[in-house]
Amino acid sequence: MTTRPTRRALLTAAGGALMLPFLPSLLGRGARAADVAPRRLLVFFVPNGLPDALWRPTTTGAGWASAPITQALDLIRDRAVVISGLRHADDPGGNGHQSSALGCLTGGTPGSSASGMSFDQVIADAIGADTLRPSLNLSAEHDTPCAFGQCGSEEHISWRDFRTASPLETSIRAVFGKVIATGTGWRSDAARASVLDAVRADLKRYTRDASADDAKRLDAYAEGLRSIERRAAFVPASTCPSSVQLPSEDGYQYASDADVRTMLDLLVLGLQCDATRVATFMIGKAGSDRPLSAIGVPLGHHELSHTTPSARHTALGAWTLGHFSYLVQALDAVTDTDGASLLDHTDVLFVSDMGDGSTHSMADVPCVLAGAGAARWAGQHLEFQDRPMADLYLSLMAAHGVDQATFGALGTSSLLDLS
Amino acid sequence: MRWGGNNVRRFAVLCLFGCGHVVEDKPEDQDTDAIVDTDVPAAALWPHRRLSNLQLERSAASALGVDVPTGPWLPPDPVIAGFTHLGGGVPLTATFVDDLEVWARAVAAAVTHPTSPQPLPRSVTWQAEELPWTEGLRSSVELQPFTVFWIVGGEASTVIEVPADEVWSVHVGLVGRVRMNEPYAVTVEIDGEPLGEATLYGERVGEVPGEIDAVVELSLGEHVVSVVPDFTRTGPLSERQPGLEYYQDPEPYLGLDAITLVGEGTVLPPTQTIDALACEGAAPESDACATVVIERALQRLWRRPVADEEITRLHDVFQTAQGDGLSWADSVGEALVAALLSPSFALHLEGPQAATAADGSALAPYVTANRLAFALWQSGPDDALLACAAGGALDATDDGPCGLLPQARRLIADPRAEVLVNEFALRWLGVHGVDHLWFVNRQFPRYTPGLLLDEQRETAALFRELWSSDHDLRELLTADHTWATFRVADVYGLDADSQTEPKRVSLVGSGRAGILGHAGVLTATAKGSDPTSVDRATWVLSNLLCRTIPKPPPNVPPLLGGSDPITDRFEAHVSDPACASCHAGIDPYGLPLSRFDALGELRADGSGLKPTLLPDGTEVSSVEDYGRWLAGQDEFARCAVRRVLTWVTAQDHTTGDDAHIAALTNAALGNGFSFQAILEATLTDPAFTAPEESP
Repeated sequence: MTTRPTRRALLTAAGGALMLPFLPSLLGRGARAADVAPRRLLVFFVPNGLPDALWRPTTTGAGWASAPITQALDLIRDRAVVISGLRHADDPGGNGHQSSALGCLTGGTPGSSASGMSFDQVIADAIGADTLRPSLNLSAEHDTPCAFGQCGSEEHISWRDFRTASPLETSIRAVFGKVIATGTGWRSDAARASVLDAVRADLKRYTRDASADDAKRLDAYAEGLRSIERRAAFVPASTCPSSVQLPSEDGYQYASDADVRTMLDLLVLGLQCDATRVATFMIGKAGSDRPLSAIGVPLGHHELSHTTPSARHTALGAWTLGHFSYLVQALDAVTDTDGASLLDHTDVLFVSDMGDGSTHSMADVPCVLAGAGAARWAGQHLEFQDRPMADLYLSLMAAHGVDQATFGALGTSSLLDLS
Repeated sequence: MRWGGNNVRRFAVLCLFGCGHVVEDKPEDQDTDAIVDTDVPAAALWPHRRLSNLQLERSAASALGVDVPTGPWLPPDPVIAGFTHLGGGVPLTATFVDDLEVWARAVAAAVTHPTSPQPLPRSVTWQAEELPWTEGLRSSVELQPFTVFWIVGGEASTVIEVPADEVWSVHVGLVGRVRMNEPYAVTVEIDGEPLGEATLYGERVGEVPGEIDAVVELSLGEHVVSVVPDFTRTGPLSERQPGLEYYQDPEPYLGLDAITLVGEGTVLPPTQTIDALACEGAAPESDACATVVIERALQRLWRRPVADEEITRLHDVFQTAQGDGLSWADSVGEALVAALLSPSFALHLEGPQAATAADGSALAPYVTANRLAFALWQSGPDDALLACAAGGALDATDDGPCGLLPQARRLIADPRAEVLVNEFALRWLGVHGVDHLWFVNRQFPRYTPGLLLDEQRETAALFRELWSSDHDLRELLTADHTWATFRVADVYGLDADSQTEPKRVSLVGSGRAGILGHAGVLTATAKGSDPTSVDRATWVLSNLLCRTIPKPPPNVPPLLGGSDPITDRFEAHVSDPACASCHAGIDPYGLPLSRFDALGELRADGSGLKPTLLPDGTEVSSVEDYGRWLAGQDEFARCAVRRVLTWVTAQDHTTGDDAHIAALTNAALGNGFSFQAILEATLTDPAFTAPEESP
């Protein structure tokens, strides 16, 4: 018998750092129609809210005075606007973490059928059709225990309708393979069509007698085959790097700081290559109890959110805003197809599902907008009096060409001109 | 008191109230499957269950003779009940199918271009903070959010252990904290030889990334890596702009992110024992040969009779590709991609479509053949087993060559059954993946990939020995010898030659016995620098006794202080009634192992040697005592049977069904309780032969 003690080492290593050629089959396939830089949307979600006093600047307008947490924004001050006084809709059944996840981007009355498609998906439907993935949803937390053993909506903020979440990715490797290293080496379009036809014929054997539950899984199989076709037809933007290093990941339930950074890098790369134009990132799921040892706090995130505001909250806020700041800077460092920075064409929204997490308040939700739409207001702190967050979503939708009179339960008029 | 369903539930309720437990400093990148499985969802029998990643790899290897890891392309399978292949555990998603195509293409390329070996990517990454550095470093805590190690002084050095003689691509990730317009240079050296230089420069104050890449030949073993930042300011200070904030700290910093080695020259091991392209009489590179190749591949990959129309369909793929200008080999490769991407390969032969073949004949013998091969090899059946299925045999009561047991014995004697050691046994005993824990703890510089790999080999070797010599499997807990390399022997304080292969050494008088003293087990159950009796108890209770343990309640204050680092600290678990309600039934099972530190060495201060009173009143004063006690528990024998049954059926049998498990255990005990006896008892059990009919 031969032993293969290193097999696992090899497998894991293979997921480590491996240079993969980017789209080898597509080089020379012909450029995209026109290199007009499209507008993109990126939502950065932080769960459990943040106490108003810690993140709301004490002065308004330009040159706002830093609140304890917002010092983390100093490096991107001239590219971002801090917006205070926005609220999510209250859930008549009580503001829990499951309903807040459902309500955060849908603007709806959380947990009810009135909450429909989230605004990122509305925008994705409008602008995402030509890309590899209409939208990309990524979370830094996966497979963590659910509250009371019930996994509900808390893992998702992006919704197709009130019970259908948009697909969520939690693996760096999966995102890398699907969105970045999309080259597969098809050498013949005819052969590819023939291969997929053969596979579909085999799949028919299975669907014949499938139960409803199995039919759903077989639908996933069919969807995977369509995805292969989309991948083969995809042509990346001209600014896309020619090779990318497959990042390592630890596969732990909570992404490490290095992994969060890698995930953000991948999102930037996804936008840069025009593999997607709409993305959401969750640094944790709603109600996340991520251990906060990385910032020297011996509590979980959710646990901390239910304590009196303290320096620990400040550290937590600075940690999340620090990652957001990193993302904005990373976008700014990339040159888009028209020579401007990628940030110039991207709306980057920092938002939470709650205001003060200790009371599950839906008022005074922390909110920072950077990039394209923020240009006109950049460097300012805009203060509103209890306006719906959905009004801001209306503004963002309008900026992406979706004119809608109302949105969600509360949104009735656009908050700002972000065009 | 017996532990059973009711008691467990009661404990779970009580434990919602605060019992202090130690807050683990658990590194986030710790490989969780190396510890114990606790969260076990029910595994439903699911007709359209896909092959696990391991099963995909091994089935392709078995059918086509090429060994292509899924690792780069497919996300890892979830661990359920300790294993990665359980029904309901391996998810079938669109992402999987999409990813599967890329892997299928790599397999096809390995078959059709065997002379140009596929590079087998192999890499090692060290996060800088995991390495032991000489000096000049400080932690990055105050500079969150980035987890990098910051050099504030001059040169800093560390030692990495290179896993093989090879040409390596070295990547060093840097993050420079720069002032505006003030570039500085960084040089990285390996063994004193410059590897490369980077200049970090920013137009703004803040962190800028940098990196050094080089290709260099490194030998197996330790190498010194030095990082030499030149903080001499060369930037044009005169260009400082009024009104801009400048970085206040008097010194620029250099942050080290990670050091990564990627093996350049490693190629696939020569496993090509099957000529998947053999023409068997047809003219080479002919249309007829393509048909031969496709038919043979389909029968092996799809693991059932293949209809003519199915062969024709894939032959059409071949012809289409050839018509579009692809070579004969590449066109066959396209047909192989179609075969590998098809549900007939990727899904198990179960459910409605497993009832009848395309020609109407019964598929039941093929279902059994598949089940048997996956149970013993984690791969599809070979030609001989398929031939038996074609004869309609594989009956559990048949003693002939195509009976279930004779075929099982044939499969067990095949080298492919080694997976039962390296996957089944190592996962059951909790040491699978322990080789990835070496960075866990900087307090133990001796944690190296080499040592932890040897620890895994030690446990594997003992299991293999007991299996091949038909010994009672309970000797896993009592063996008076072990299989040590020089690294492991050194940890145990035994005389060590320089043997690099595990060698049988006596443990008599060493204070160790069986796997309870195995360093791999003790490291895997340490969960960090300071192993607690609770963690090791969890391993004993869960992995060895198959008990369900209540999860630690939320909001537990940390237990700190205490003079004795181990036993006294847990005094509150006994003295506080709220704690004792749970912990009195947990802690004692770990206490006999608390004499070992996280590396598996006897603690230097001699602590943890107090005798332990187990809940049944037995006093245990040594590891040998404890091993004997555990081996004598019916619960251990039943748990071993539960684990084997779970493995072979791919269904979770780790709890419940007590009478059935007791009967199976008795059957295995009647045959000496060797691994072979347990395997044969479970393979002839209805839970394996007719899972649809069993409850």
